[in-house]
Amino acid sequence: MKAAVLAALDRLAAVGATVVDVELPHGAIAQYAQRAIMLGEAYAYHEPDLQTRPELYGKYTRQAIQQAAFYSAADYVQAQRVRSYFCQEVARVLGEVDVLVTPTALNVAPTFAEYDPEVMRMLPSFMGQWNVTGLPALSVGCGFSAAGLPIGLQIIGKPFC
Amino acid sequence: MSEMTPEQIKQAVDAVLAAARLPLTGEDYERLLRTYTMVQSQTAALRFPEVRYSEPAAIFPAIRT
Repeated sequence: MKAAVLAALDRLAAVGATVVDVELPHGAIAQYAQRAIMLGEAYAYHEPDLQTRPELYGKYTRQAIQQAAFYSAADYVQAQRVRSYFCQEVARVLGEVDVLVTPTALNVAPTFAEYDPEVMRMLPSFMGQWNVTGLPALSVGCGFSAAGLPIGLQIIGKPFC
Repeated sequence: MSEMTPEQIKQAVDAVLAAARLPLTGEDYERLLRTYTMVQSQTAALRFPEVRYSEPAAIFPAIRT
């Protein structure tokens, strides 16, 4: 998988891109902030229905939102602070480059039979971070695993305006 | 954060759920027991010194009239 992503970067360089490494030290924590914000806001909306008719939700959706009961108001505020801080960190980096390129995830897509949302949520990923920045991000295929499953390359751009 | 015992996790989860008044299936409950410490470690990671005074928590813009 790493080889496919690095090969895609080589291809970008071959067609004229200047590829440089950049650092976003709080990228992993920004993903935690995204989960706290997303689940907290979902819980605020769905709470009455989760209390009175939870059977109307699909199992995986219900279980994900139930988890938000573990977050406190202080956790939510702290997540918003991290969001703000991370946005500044990303803005500094985007002052030096035109786009950011990352793997979309650290694993290839699972088969339907192997899909387990709980496992997926525990794996590091490179997607939620961009939700909290509000930046446009696009995942494109950059190859296939030995089992024929797609590998994603993510391109993150600057704000449109 | 010191490691919690399974009994401590169960007590913490039960306290949260009692306040939240969420009806759960057995599977829902088991899943929450499994994920509690992960959420705790993630929320702990949100607290690093540089963000203590970051917006929006410390700034309240005046309303526009």
